[in-house]
Amino acid sequence: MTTTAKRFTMPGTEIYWDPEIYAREMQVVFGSAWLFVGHETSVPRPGDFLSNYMGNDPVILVRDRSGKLHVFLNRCRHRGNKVCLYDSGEAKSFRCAYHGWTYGLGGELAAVPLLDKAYPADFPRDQLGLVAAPRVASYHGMIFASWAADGPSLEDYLGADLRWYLETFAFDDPAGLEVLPGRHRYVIPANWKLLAENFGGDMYHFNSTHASLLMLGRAGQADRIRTSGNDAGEVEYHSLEFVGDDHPPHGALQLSFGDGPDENDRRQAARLSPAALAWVHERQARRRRLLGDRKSRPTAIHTGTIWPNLSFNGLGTAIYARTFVQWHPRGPEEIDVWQWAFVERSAPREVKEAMAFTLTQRQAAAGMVAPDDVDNFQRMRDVLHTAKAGTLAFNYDLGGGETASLMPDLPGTVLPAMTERYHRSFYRYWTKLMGYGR
Amino acid sequence: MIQLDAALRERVAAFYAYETMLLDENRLREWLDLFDESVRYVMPMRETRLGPPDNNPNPPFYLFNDDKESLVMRVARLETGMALVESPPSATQRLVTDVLVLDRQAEHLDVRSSFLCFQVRDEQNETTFAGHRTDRLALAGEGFRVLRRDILLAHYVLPRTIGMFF
Repeated sequence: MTTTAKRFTMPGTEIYWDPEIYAREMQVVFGSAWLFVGHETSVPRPGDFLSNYMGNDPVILVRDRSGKLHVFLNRCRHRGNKVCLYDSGEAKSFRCAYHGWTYGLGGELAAVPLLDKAYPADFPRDQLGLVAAPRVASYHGMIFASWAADGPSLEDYLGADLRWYLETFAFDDPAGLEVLPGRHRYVIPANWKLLAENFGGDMYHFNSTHASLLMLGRAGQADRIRTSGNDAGEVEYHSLEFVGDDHPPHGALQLSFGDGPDENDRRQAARLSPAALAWVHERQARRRRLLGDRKSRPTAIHTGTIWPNLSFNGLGTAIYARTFVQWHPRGPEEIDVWQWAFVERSAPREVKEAMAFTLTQRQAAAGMVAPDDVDNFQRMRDVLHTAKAGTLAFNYDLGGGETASLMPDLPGTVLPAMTERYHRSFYRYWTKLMGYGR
Repeated sequence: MIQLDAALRERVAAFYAYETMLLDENRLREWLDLFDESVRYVMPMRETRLGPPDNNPNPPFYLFNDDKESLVMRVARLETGMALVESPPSATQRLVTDVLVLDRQAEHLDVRSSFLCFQVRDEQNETTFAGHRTDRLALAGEGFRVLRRDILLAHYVLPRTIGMFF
């Protein structure tokens, strides 16, 4: 094997704490990417708005009077105060509290106190609207924005291979997804990349970090919240990566096979109602149609990361809300986590309730999965750049050497479950994008 | 606010002091015994909204939306000793105060209480959760059983994920 000679040299651990590297990332990574800013069902009517972040910049997603979506930097052009102070709501305009500059829903500077009396005649009012993201695009209701005026379209950025999985396991319902009220938001003391790599390819951590949930599952004490995840018992898993020259790397794990997850979904639904069971049957039949005559028959894709900082969880499992998590950077060693939950519009009410319940119990801010991860990341932060520890690299060798996809009839590169190949692809791309490459 | 006889007020205060002791001493099975079999244990995420309330009819994505069975499941997980969030166990100190009886019926009381929950993990990683609870307590002999607990944290951004009870 020539694996060793070809092995990618990981950057040092300063990429997880160095303020200068972080400052460059905010410009280079977050300045070029397509970033999720909200779901269409959060802003259905003219005047509806939602606050979010792109990287560390606060932004407002708003639907104007004509129904068009805009994404604005949440910053007055006069002295830089925020103009929107709410998580969501209905607005007629955005008024800065400091001096009263007021912006319309299309971002235009609509009112300036004392404009006629105290400003010169050539005051460039029409150039002082809210700063807008030049590109805003929607994909199955998921709204993304980019600060880059040029670059790949959102669909090309996601890539056809990842889109096939999203359209088969998350956006397959013709009625679409709708957002649940109540976005979770919490702090993780870690660099944003560590969570992106975890969701994008770290099947390896589950048995150790989440052993308590596995024990509960094996003891039959967690049947109520079983998913396609690996407490579902005898399930065969693979990992996935989506690497190409024309899009950034994305990754996923727990691509599951066998009837275990489907059987579990039917059992859960049968406990709820006949309508719930019928809905799950219909869902499974639809997925079989989407898989076509492929020899490989995946049933779910549980977790993944879309470059750079949007992760997902619970795609494919029927009785589990689809969740999308944003790892918003807050300095090199902190993440402001925003977690959204979605359900299929067509699902019966009792299914929607069970989906929300299962997610709440698992990968959520007070669930039985995410808080265990946070303990790991806090302890890693505690020994990240002390005198001796700061000279040591992390190890990313797991699953080295493999090349071709294990299932060429499926899109993307299907990998053994236990690999850190996505991590290596992630940092290879990151290194090149940051201009640190050879 | 209602007038309440001093003896009953004292019983309510003693109930919360006892519950606080059970939680801070990690006596979670005994703590579970304080909850009725039909209990609802609910904590929403706090957000700010301009204008009319969100009319999204979907079930909310709560922080806790538990019944007795799921509370037992959470405790059973912590008892495995493998839950990273509590191994090693946190040092915690809860302060429960401002106990206010909002309503008294023949079978139950509605009680509001404020809490501050101080948590330390791994040397000096300190977190403080503040908030209040509104409980419906069933009169049960000399004590009470919790029929419903609504918890509202005074946080828009949680300082840490939650691995404990309030």
